[in-house]
Parts: sequence; C-alpha cells; structure tokens
Amino acid sequence: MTSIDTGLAQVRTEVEVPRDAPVGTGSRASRILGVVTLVLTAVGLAYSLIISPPDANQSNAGRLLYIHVPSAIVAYVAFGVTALASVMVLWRKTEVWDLIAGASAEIGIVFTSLCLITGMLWGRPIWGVYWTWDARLTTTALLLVLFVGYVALRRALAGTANRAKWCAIAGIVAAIDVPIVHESTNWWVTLHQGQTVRLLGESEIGGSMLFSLLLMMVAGLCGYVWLLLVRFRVGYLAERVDEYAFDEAIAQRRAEAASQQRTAAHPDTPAHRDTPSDRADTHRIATASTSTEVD
Amino acid sequence: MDLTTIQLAVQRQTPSYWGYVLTGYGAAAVAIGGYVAHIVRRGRKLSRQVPTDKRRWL
Amino acid sequence: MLADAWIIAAKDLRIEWRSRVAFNQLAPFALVVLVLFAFALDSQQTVLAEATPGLLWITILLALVLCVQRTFVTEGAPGLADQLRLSGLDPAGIFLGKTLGVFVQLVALEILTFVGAAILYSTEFGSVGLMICTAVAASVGLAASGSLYGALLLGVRGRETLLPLLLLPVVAPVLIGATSAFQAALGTGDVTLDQAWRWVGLLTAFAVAYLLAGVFAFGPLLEDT
Repeated sequence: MTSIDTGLAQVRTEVEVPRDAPVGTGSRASRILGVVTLVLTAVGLAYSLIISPPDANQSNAGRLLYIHVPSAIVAYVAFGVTALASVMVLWRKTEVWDLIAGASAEIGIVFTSLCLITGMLWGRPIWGVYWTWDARLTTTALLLVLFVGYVALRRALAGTANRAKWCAIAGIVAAIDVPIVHESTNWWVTLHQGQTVRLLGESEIGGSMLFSLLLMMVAGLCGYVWLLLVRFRVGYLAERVDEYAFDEAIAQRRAEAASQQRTAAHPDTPAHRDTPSDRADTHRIATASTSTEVD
Repeated sequence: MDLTTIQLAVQRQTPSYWGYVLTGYGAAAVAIGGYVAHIVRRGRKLSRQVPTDKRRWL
Repeated sequence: MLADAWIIAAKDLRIEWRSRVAFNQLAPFALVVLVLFAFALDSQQTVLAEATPGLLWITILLALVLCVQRTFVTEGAPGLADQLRLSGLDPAGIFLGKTLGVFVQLVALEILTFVGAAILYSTEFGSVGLMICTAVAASVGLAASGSLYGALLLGVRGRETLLPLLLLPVVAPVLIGATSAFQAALGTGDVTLDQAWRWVGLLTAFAVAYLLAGVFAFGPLLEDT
C-alpha cells in the first residue's frame, strides 16, 4: 500500500485536529473588541436617547445626530482605508491588502447609507425637506455611489486573476475624484446658497450632549475595526474555499487516474480500497467543525 | 420675560419628533445588525469548507 | 510615448472615419436627447433657455459613455489586448492615443450639439472664447477618465451597465464646472465671468489629474500578472 493517494490519506488521518481550531470568524481578539464595542454602544445609546437633554432648538431630532455624525466619520474612514489599501495592493502586490480594500468598501456602503438616511430623517423636521443640495450631503451621496460602483466591479471581476490589481486601480481613480467633488460642490453651493448649513444651527453643544456624541463616535470606530476584521476573515475564507475546491478537484482527479491504473494492473483488486480512509478523513474534519466553540 | 421662560415656551411648542428619532435608530439597528448577522453567518459557512490549517491569515 | 499615442489615435480615428458610427449614430443620439429634454420640460422656452447649459452637458456625458463603449469594443475582441501589449507600444502612449481619439469625437459632437441647442432652444451665445476653453478643458477630462474606465472594464462581464455606473459619478465635477461656466457664457443663471474662469481652472485640474492617472495606470492595467 505504497501508492501515492493511500499514503496521503494515512498522513491526514494521523494529524490531530487542534482543540481551538476555529469555525467562523471569531477569535480572542475579535471577541474582546466586539464586547468593547457593544458596551460602548450600549452606554452611548443610553446617553444619546435618555441621559442627554433634548436640544433647545431642535428638540429630540438632535438625537439623530448622535448616529449621523459618527456614521459619517466611519464612512470617510472606510473610504480612506479602501483608498490606502488600493495603493498598497499596487505597491506590495499581496492578497491581504486587496481583501482589506474590499472589506472596507462594503462596510463603507453600510455606514454611508446610514449617514444619508439619518441625515434625511433629521432634515425633514428641522429644515422641512428630506434633502438639500449642500456640499456635505452631495459629497456623501456621491461617495455612496462611488462605493457601490467599486463593489459592483469587485463582484463582476470575481474569480478573475487580475481582480486585485484592477480593483485597486479603480479604487485609486475614484479616490482622486473625491477631493475634486468636494471642492466643486463647495464652490457650487456657495455660488447659489451661501455656506453649508451648520448641523447645530444656533445651539452650542456641551455637557452630556458632547459626551454622547464622543461616545458614539468611539463606539462607531471600534465597530468599524471589528467589522473590518470579521469581513476581512470572510474574504480570506472565500479565497481559500476557491483555492481548496480547486486543489481538491485536482487531487480527486489524480486519485481517479491512479486507481484506474491500479485496476488496469491488478484486475482482481477492488478499485475503491482507499475510500474508507477518505471517509474517515472527511468525517474527522466534520467532527472538528461541530465540536469547536462557536463565536 | 427671562431666557428660561422663552426656552420653556419654545420647548412646549416644538414637537418632540420621537417618531423620526426612533425610525432612525431602528434603521441603524436593522442595517448594522443585519450586516453583522450576514457576515458572521457567511464566515461560518465558508470556514466549514476549508481545512482547519488554512482558515486564518495569521 | 507621444509617437505611439499618435499611432493609436490615428488608427481609431481612421476606423471611425471609415465606419462613421459616431457620425451616423452618436450625433443623431445627441440630437434626440436634446429633443427629449424639450418634451420633458414641456417646450417652455424660458425653462429650456435657463436650463440649456445643464442639458447640453448631460447630453455630452451620455454621448461620452456610448463613445467610450465604442472605442473599446474593438480592443475587447479576444486576443487584441494581448496584441496591443506585445506590440511594444508604450502603455502610456496607448492611453494618450485612446484619449485623443475620444477627445476628437467628443469635440465634434459638442459642436453639433451646441449648434442644435442654438436652434432648438433659441440659445444666444455670449462669450465664445469662454465656451471654447470650457469645452476643451472639460472634454480632455471626460476623454481621459472615459478611456481609463473603458480600459479597466475590458473583458469584464456586465461592462455595458458597469461603465455608466463607474464613469458618470466620477465626472460629476466636470458637469458642475462646465455647466456653471456655460451659465456665465450664455448669460443664464447668476455666474459671473471671473467665477466662470475659476471653473475652467477646476476643469483643467480634473483633466490633468486624470491624464496623469491614466498615464501611470495603463501600464499595470495592460500587463498580465
């Protein structure tokens, strides 16, 4: 029993599956970060919704700013990370940076949409309209469209060899655009309407309101890092699944070819001698999956 | 009239807008919660298809 | 680099001259869009006259998408991208050549569209110098960013819908700038002439940024890892 495939199967069944082999994307680091984020968010919500007083001019609608402003910050941070990671992809040419760029872009879509939605829900009672063409809102709306285009390109290029490079170029090209968009919408608005509308109008922010805002900002950024970590791992796993499926297919094909040769050489030997060890091997992987802790 | 009275008067006349606030916070919970559930579930599904030594980058 | 650019541009324009797609299809398309705008805005002369700068440039943006699709359809034929790479032509030169080809077609379309608007919307052209500078600066930027995305999407499935989705948001500043400058040139809206020249400056900055981006990105784009 020295044929190649049986030898491999023997080696595989002898390898002990480590006790903490992870299923899913949890890890000690991500769990700690997740708990921190949840705690910060909980306290932040308590402050935003209950402890901080309603604004003198905006009444409770001002509470929407405790989500609107942090999500805007996260959206722009996510954008910056995607742009930076795209540059790194072209410079270092590693898969890691491509995965970071993609993960950050997806998260950016979530938070940019949230920023626009809360902005609209805030604008309706305060300004009377859901939307106004001020520089900040317009740039954020365009940012969303740029993100969506980038993610659409990633999906369309899925599985192609040069995806990382092309998406990186697309990311950088879109990133160049953002300062130009910002400048041009600024000029455009000042031409027609005057300065960008200040979110807080006449009120001064202070005390518990400022604290709520800061808390939610920190919670938002911690949440972003956690999401980035998890989404990065998901992207990494997706790449490994593709690779592994490919390797499996090749190994299987070789096994078939070898067993065909053996049947041709020894017509009386049962062709599927190596099947029990293969079954044991997949069984071991399956038990490993179900027995380890879930995050 | 002193400042407090005016402020109180304004507060009495301005609606509380809780509907908008709760819609906004609810949308945030749904969007973020939904996204988290989606990627965690996807992560578990994918990691079952990969042998244990290849699951993590570090 | 420039010699290679010239070769590519000449090839594209020669193909265009022989097949006359731009002439037969893009030009009527631009005119149809102008007519559709008149329908949409209920053919009220005042509204059309005020909106002319914006309508003109939206028409040009839509024509740009079609023009870029067309310019890169010949390159998308299988194996042709490899031939381009192996031909020894400088990638930056290929980019500049493509950009020049698109630029020439755009300018031709613009002349036609502006004349069409003059007739259909009864526009009166004021400062022609400003208009020409604006159109040139805008067109360079549009051609450069269009060529960049056109090449990026070579061979990508779904590129017909991906190109507008990717390109149009990126050229939004060009729309804002060109429209504002034209508002000053045509005397509609409340943009003054010096503000208009600042907008031309912005359009030039956009054009330069995307020319540089294309020159640097085309090498990695065309090479096969």
